[in-house]
Amino acid sequence: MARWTREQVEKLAPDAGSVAAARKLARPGPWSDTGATDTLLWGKCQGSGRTPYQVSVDLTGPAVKCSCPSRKFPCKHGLALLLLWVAGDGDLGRATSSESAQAASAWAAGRAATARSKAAAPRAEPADPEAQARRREQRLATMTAGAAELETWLGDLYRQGLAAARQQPYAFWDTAAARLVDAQLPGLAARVRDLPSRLAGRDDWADVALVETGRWFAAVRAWARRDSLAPDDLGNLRAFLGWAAGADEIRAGAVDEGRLLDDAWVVEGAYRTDDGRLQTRRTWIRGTASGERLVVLDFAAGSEVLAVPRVVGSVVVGRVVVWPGSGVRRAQFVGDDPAGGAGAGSVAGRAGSDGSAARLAGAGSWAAALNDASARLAANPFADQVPLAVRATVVADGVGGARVVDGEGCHLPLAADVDPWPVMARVGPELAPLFAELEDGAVRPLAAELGGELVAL
Amino acid sequence: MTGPELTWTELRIAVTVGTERRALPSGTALPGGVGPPGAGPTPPEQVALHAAALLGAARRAGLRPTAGPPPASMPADEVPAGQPSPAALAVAERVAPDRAVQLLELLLDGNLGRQAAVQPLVAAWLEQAAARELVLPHHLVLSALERGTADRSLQLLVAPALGRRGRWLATWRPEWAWAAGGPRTATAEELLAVEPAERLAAVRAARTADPHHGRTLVEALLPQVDAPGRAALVGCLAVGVGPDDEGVLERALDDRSGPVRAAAIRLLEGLPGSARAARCAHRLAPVVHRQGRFRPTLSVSRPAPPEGDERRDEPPGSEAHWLRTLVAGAPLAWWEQTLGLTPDRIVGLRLDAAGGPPGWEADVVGGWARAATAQRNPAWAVALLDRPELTATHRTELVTALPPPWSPATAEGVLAWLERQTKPGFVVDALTPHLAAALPPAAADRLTAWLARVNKGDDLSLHRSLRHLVQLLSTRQSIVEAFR
Repeated sequence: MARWTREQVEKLAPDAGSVAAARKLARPGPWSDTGATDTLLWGKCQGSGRTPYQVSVDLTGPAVKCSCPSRKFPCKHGLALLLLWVAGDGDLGRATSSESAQAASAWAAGRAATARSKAAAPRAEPADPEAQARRREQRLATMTAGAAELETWLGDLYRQGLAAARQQPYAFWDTAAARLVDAQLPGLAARVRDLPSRLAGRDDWADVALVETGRWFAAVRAWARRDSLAPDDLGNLRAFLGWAAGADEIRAGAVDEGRLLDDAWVVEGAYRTDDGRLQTRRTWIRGTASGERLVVLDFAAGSEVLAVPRVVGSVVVGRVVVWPGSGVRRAQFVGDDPAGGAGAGSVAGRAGSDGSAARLAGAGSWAAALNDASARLAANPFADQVPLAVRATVVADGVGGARVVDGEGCHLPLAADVDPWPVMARVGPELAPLFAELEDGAVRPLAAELGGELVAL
Repeated sequence: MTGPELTWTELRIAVTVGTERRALPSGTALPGGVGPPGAGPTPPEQVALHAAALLGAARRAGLRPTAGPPPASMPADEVPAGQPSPAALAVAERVAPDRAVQLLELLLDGNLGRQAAVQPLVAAWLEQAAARELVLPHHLVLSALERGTADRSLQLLVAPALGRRGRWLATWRPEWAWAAGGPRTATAEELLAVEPAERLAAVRAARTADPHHGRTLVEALLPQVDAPGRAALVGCLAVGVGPDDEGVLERALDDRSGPVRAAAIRLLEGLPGSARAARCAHRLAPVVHRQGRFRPTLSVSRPAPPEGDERRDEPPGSEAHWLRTLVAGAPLAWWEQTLGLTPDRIVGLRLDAAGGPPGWEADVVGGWARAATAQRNPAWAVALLDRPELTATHRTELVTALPPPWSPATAEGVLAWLERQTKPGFVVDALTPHLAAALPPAAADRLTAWLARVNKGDDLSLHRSLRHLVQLLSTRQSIVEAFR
């Protein structure tokens, strides 16, 4: 169990008065019969009455139980026990045989059982809208403070120069990233952490670093005036910061805001990343009627397994809910559980069985494809990958990389993480309609229309 | 702010060095007249941050493709030298049936065993495809190219199955040149100008694709390179060596260099119809005698030392073993004619050591083994397997030299020998790739019966090896059926 901080404990408090009262109690004097395991704290606190209060804290929740009559939750006794535990560096003794320990473990076991049965049952209403609103305000304040700190840090970076920053060890970036994690800006944190490795070995590292830090600054500034942003712009920004709305939240207002779309969706391409902590899969879909290109994200943490992928080239008839955003928009099939299986929608067979669906809409020259990409990036400068269709072929460039060449001889580099040979073997020397992601000025082909059929590359 | 707009390059230079050391050009404006909010002077790093945000976004959204030919690539409309003509391209190709393709995917992905173990099955698959003029689907072309590059023995089989797509892909990497569609037009003169290793690779590739063309290159290059180069060139002829190569090999016997002659002799030993084979037999004739009618024995006396031209037929350093050289060089059929016996009778003859030079039995049996390996003679190979004079390596060579598919008699002989081994598990495992390629389908029953007799607890390694072998044989049968 990770070590808690005093700050974390105080954030649990329902109000400032509880914190103050708890601090007064967070000393050994009134306590007896205290103990702790990895997940459980317990103790007896002498209050105003004759019988001391029985206090138990389940750290996995966290959840607090106290025999005092206070209507505040958690009460000052629970908070005090946590503070005492934090101050003692986790040492409360291990009086496991005591009455107090038995009471705590019985309560924790009951909680675990309830949690299991709850998990099976439909989720109950959020406990307390007021508390929720308060937590949200707290989070916003933390994020704002973190963003301001990042702006200062960026100013230092620019004053001292990117060349100097590039000489810094990874720890320099990791430290900055860790502060952003604390500030609940995980998206920015990941970007800061990844930047040094993205720059490694690149001739154009200064361009990449300048573009990327410019985007961070844009995000910081956009956050400062988030109240005046249109909902779509705010959606784009939240995705960039790593605070995208959850699926439940998205579904809640989807009907009123017209964010439910019914269509026959062609699965145009999929790409999986794995940074060791989190696996992410992007699945690009296009509505055959609306022409909308959307991206469905699946996540799996640690050793979890990603949901069964949808087959590239298949058509899924169904309803999606779309996140607020523009240019490159995230969607989810209604009925899919983001952490579970992809089950929603009915698969209407391979694209191409009816002819029209197989065609990659709008596969033309690079000039046309980049005009479209340009419009998407103008609408959403925070998008990392832009979907596009282009009629092109892939040729090796003789130095380990490759270029994606259109019919007019114009070309862009193949993304460095793509092995050119399998793509060349599939696509061949002739031009073919390709579905690809554009990222960092390079192209990552995900599917090709070959013999009238859309196949994954 | 007025004045010219700040350029990306100016911004990059300033921010790379650091705005405290290098000022942004004075008087420049941000695009569209946008500026940092707020009145009063703005710190330079703040201006730079605003500029990076704005210009960076514009740069990302304003991405344009590079025009003109891509670096170091091939013009799309030009057919590379050595490629089939456009007319040939018009011929429709037929892809192997789906069921067969699925089997090959399993083999190439390593789902049916490690690479070396399934190699004969891949070869069997490619043979079936070649017999029906079928090609690989595009998605397997790369794996096949890589297999062929790693295992030269597969190249002759892989090349036709690659089809147009595979030959086109092969033009992109030098190490795939063997598959790039017929011999490249490199001439002997051009090859003289390149590094020896590259020259040999080109000759080998040419020989693989077209034995006649490869031989022509070897003949043209031989007079113009140094001795190690000549020995390596002669070695290139090992791919598909045949009677047509005898002329160049015979001339190589006159080479000043020992290693060149040794290389030529090694290949000539595989040509029992050659003049050298006849010369060896001619020198053996006076010293080989069959004695006794009912329990015949074989006596071989000391052959005369080579004289004059005969020395051409002796590999350097073999002075102590003329006899072995002669036995290895003579046609095995000559023994059968001379002695009037079948190979198993000849190998079973009691050797009369009385008149021979010291160690001559080992020379005779060793010479037979070399001849049986070089001439790929199944009857002799099977007969020799039990001779105690041979090492385990010799025996393995005897078995692996036999070209698949084996006749029922050969299969029976090899399997019976395997069953007689004291540690058969080890031998079966070592020979598995070859057995899987060569045993006829009917041998599966015999192997299954053997497997049933093996107690898993007693000999786990044999049990495993046999089970694996049975599985490979059944997969090979599935391959044949998948092509029907």
